[in-house]
Amino acid sequence: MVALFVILFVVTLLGVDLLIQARSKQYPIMAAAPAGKALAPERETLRIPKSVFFHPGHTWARLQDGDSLEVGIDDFVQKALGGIDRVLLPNVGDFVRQGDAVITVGHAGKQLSLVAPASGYVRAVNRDAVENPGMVSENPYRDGWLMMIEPAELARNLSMLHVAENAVTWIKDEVKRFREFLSASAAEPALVGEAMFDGGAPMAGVLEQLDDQHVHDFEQQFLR
Amino acid sequence: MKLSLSRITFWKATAAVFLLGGLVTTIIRFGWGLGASTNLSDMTPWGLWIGFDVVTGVGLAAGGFTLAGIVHIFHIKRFHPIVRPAILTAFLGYCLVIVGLLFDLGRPWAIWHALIYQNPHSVLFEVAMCVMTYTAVLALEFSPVVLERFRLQKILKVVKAITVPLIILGILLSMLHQSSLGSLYLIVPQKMHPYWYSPMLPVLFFVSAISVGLGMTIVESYLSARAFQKTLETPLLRDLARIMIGVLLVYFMMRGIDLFRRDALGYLLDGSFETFMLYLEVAFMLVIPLLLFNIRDWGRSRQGLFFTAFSVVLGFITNRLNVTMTSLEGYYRDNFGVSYFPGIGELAITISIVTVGFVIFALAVKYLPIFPHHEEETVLRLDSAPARATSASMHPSPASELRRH
Repeated sequence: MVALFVILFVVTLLGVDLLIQARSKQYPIMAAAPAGKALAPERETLRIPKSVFFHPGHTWARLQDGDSLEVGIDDFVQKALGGIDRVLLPNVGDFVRQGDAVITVGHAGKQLSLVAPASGYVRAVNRDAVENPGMVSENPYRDGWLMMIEPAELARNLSMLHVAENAVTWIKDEVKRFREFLSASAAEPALVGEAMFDGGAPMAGVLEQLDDQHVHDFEQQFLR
Repeated sequence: MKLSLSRITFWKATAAVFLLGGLVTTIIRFGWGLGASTNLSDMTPWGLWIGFDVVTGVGLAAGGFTLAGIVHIFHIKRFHPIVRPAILTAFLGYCLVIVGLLFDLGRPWAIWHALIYQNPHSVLFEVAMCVMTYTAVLALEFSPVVLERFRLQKILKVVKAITVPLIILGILLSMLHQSSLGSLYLIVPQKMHPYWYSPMLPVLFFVSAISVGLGMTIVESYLSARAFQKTLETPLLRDLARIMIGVLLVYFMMRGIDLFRRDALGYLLDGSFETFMLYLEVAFMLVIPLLLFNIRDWGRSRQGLFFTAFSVVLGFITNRLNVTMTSLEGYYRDNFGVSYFPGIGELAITISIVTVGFVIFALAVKYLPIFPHHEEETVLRLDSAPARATSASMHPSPASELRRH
């Protein structure tokens, strides 16, 4: 009876905690939001970790323990694509060369191929990310890493990449360039819809609304 | 200092009530003795404090030696970020076990007697020696966290130099006493229900402690993430959960064979309270975790991993309390008409000891480098205001645009 009592007590505490959590999550819906906040659209953000090296083709590499490189795609691509629901990666043991298109990601029928940020042998791939591509959109720089490379020309490869303040400046320029690219596409308004003009999110999922030709143009202009 | 009522959460208020209850009972316990504060008797001298605070508490703290061994002995460095939270849990767990013992012992001031007046034929002596020695080892294993925080580099260097021997000693001591806690019950086969008495109790105690140690690490990582945004990566936690499930499968295979060989499976359909408690144990410790872990998206989410691990922890608590209490209840009831249920004082002390554990863990996570340092990142806020596509641009105002994490 003592064991049952203890278990019921712990389960009750967990139940109370779940109730509290559920109530706090419902707050914005259930209760009146403070004036001025309710109508403000959520601001879109791009994350740029300081220790990550960015390839101009929007993939990244991070040094791990000094002898391997963790590789993934950046926040810019996954935001533009509106999420990730498909990931294709090279096989473990393959040799990939910096700048070669070796990663394929897709969302809602649109597909993009991305380049390797550095040369080397693929020593591991993130099978969790392949089976559950949502991880890549949720946290592209940590849980959503894609493969581990044993670098072949580390110093030369890294010198081609953007890091820290340079990466921030570069991403800002890329966002600006992306909007110019979209405005050119907007000559045919149906292709980009209303998203850019109505105060909604200016970037998330915009590629979904482009036709295949424009997606191909995006790939050539931004991901190579 | 002004107290802000808005900062008092439900759980902070609840913790305060629990601690107050513990304080009052402590005064009664040490002022008026065990008789005034517990329902213990000569017939049932071991109650909740031994069953939960000691036998269960030591098992819940097993993540320390498991993770330390994986990382420092087997050199699986991937799990390195988990070692500190696991050692903190272990260190706190053992300290609280000792506190629990001080409440339970009739003459707590004589606790050191085990060191001097040794009885090498007693399992209890071995447990006492191991728990005391291992707590000292854990203090040393945990010390780099404090030394780093206060930048005591010279002492840190010395401690780091002896890390591997310390870890080996810790594993050795843990193997000894985690199993010896099971050995304590080998002397009462006639009193225990066949579900839980087994000559394999020491091995079963050791194996289940490994799995729950990993489970506790996942649980505390989830709770720390919720409270302080300090946590471990989900794939790492998932790998831990995978090992935990693997160990559990081995454990239940051993349990099944053991029950079969002792002809204890025949009781499974007797509809007794003991059978219900066994089913509860298996459900929490095996069935629910297996189901949760294998639900595709749920099993990969942080919340899914938390519930998987929490269920294992619940199952483990059920098992330990079944061994220490449920299995003996029938014997005392049928032979002496005696039943034991903990008094309000015992409950208050146990709850307040657990609360103290939560509070100290939270403070340690907040003020010491327990979880891995999160890398600094810049967050660019994109303009979402109405803008012409041709002139859409980033807002350069540094205050709102750049946020350091």
